[in-house]
Amino acid sequence: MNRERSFKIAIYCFLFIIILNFILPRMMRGNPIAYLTGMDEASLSVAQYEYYEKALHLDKNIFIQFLYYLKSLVDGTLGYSFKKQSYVAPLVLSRLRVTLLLVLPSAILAAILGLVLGLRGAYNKNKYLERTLTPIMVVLNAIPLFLLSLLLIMTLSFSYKLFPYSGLGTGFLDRVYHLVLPVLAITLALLPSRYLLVRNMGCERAKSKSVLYASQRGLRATTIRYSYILPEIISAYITNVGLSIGSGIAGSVIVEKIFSINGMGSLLNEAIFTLDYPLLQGILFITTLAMLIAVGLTNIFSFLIDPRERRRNA
Amino acid sequence: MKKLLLFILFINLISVSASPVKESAENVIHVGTTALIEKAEYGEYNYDMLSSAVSELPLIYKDSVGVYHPLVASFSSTDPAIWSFTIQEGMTWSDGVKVTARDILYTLIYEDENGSANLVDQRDSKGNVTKSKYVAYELSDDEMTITLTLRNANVRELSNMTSFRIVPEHLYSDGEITLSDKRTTCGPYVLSKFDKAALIIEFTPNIYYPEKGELDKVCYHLFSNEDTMYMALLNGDIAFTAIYNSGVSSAYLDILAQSESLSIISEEYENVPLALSFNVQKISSKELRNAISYALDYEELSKYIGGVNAKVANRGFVPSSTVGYVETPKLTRDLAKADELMKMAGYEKLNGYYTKDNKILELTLTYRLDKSIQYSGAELIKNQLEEFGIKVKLDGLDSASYNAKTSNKFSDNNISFELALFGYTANGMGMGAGLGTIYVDKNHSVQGGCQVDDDVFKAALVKLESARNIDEYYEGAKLMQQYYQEYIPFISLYHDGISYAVSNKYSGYVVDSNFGINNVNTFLALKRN
Repeated sequence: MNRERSFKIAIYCFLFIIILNFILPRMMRGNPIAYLTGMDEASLSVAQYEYYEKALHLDKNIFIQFLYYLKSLVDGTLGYSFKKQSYVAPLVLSRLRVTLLLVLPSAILAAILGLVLGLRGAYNKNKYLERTLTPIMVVLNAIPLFLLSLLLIMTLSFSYKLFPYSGLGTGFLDRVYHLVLPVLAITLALLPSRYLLVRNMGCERAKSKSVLYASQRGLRATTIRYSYILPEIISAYITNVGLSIGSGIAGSVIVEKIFSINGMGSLLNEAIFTLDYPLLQGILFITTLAMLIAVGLTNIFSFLIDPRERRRNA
Repeated sequence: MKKLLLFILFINLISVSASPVKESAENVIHVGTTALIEKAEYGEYNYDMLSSAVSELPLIYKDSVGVYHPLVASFSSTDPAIWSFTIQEGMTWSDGVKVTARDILYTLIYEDENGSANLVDQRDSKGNVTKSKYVAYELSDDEMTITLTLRNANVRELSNMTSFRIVPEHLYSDGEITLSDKRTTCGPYVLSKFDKAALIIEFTPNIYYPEKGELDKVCYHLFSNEDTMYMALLNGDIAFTAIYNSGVSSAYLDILAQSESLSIISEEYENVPLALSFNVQKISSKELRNAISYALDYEELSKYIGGVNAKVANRGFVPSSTVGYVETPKLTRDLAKADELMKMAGYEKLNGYYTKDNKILELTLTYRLDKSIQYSGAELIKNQLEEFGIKVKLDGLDSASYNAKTSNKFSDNNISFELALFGYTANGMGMGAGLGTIYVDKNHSVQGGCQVDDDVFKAALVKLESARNIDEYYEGAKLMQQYYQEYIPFISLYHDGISYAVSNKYSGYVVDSNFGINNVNTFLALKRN
């Protein structure tokens, strides 16, 4: 698919999410005041009801309400959480940094490991390494993240006492140390799909004549993997990695809960649990924005490293 | 190979420089909790409950057999309407200023400014007035004793003081209250660190506190989930778990009991962990409430939801360890009697469901989604009542929405549930006139879930509140339990004991009626084995 087109689609999706965010609580059965404040309609007194109706601009027509909603996005407040008694943006941003500490290293690690192991598996199909790795990855792919996290805690934290299992620690080294297990858990969750993608695409390329000639000419396996197979699959791989930011954030919801980390995942958990719709909207907006940025960066990166992309867009 | 060695060296380096629980010469105790704490300051409910054990001490405490003892203040009374509290010798705020009885007075005034009705009447938005609890006070000349006169005599007034924490007048009355002011306390330990990222709250000794314990530091670890916390307890990383007024969750007790590094401390006093409450303004038929009480299967409820010590409760609601308990019949399932009562209430059974005026009886059961026993209980009750012929609609809510539907304070006196599940601690049931009356009385300023306002209840309540001695209180308690038995404002689904799992690394654990194992006497008495 044309890169420009895929980026346009991402922007359309982003706009769609913005509109959906606005429309959903107003379309759902019941009173939007209940959804937007997270409070039970029957329990609101008349005074409270009138206060929230005014504060949420629900006494105005739908277009004016939409303009207020857009204003909250543009001025960066992202609305107001009545449950937390705070604007949504500072709540989300204070947690986003922690989540990125988990998601970015995991996404990068999974991307590198998936690429390296996948290329090895592709070029050495049916050899010992590939025959061992592929079933492991298939099994790993089937293990739910919460179970994987608990298994890691039980073995590496409790049985072997190698790593801590709770919080983020204090100081740089301590923080790195505390991040090892949660990052490992998300990495292991993301890795199988990366590995299998590279392995499967690479297997096809490994059968090509260019790879066969390179092999016949006695070129090193590493050179063949990285100079002959990799350029053929890198574009599709980068796109896949870019989109993994979303699944990484989804994974962090579970991992943050298990490893007691105060990130955006635990905030999302809280928002769902307390029916804090403005906070949910804010998190959805930030996540979609992060996805959009990831898609944009992916496109730029692909353009820079893949000459075919440059030729196509020339 | 070289790369692998380098990797192992790197891992070793960070393992050595940043181990999870550093062994040091300091005597540090690690305690786990799942309480959600965001500010760690006075006024944040979860923090107040946690720090009552180390820094924000209540005036007095009640031991595990129900006897009251001085903590911040000693107490005396010659009349159940008049209570004197004298600050204990040597009590000093963590900034070095002496604690006086003026701090007690200021706290009452400060609470009034925030909605309580201690010394002044409070009026809500609908114009309802809550009369002040005290009608007079008197400070001694040395300002170390305050004498409070209650509007209504209360022989059990001390139970209310086991959760009354004071604030420093010299800091609070001086304009803006800073974070440092909110963390100035008079307990044996003072908050020294709150790390939100590391999820740690540390307390170090308050140098001014007259009594010293062996511990150099109390370190609370905030867990997001129980599983990891109990694994940490099994692993020896924490000495015990601090969950306000409740022990170890029944689901984990068996596993913890098998560990050689842990001991189980079981208390005789019992709680009502799960009760079915009626909003009698909506379910006004006494016969219908009674019918429901005979339609439930209590053996099944205590077996599947309760812990190992759970047992079937009685119709008088309160457990046998409650002050003023009298024997009432056990709750039993009797479908024939329930059917008879439904007919007396005007219902007939059509197509399997009780119907009145061609309308199938359907009740909404409100419960909390964040309490596992509540959602298990709600499902079981729904099944049992529907099997009997009453339709039940489940209404699972988060804690804030639940409170806004079940408590006078949080609903602005607009309680709207029909049936609701409640969990009652011994402390909660002992408040006010005791026997759980604050949850029944429609006029209670905070609770009042059952919305009861009838004359029979009021008469029993007056009897309790006006008791001039414990014998008179027992007479009132008997009347109240007879009322519960006959009118069924709520049903205790089972009674359960409380068990705590504690590490054998320490000895000297003390159990408090209010705060369980996490209390000041534990931290002052603990010794490392």
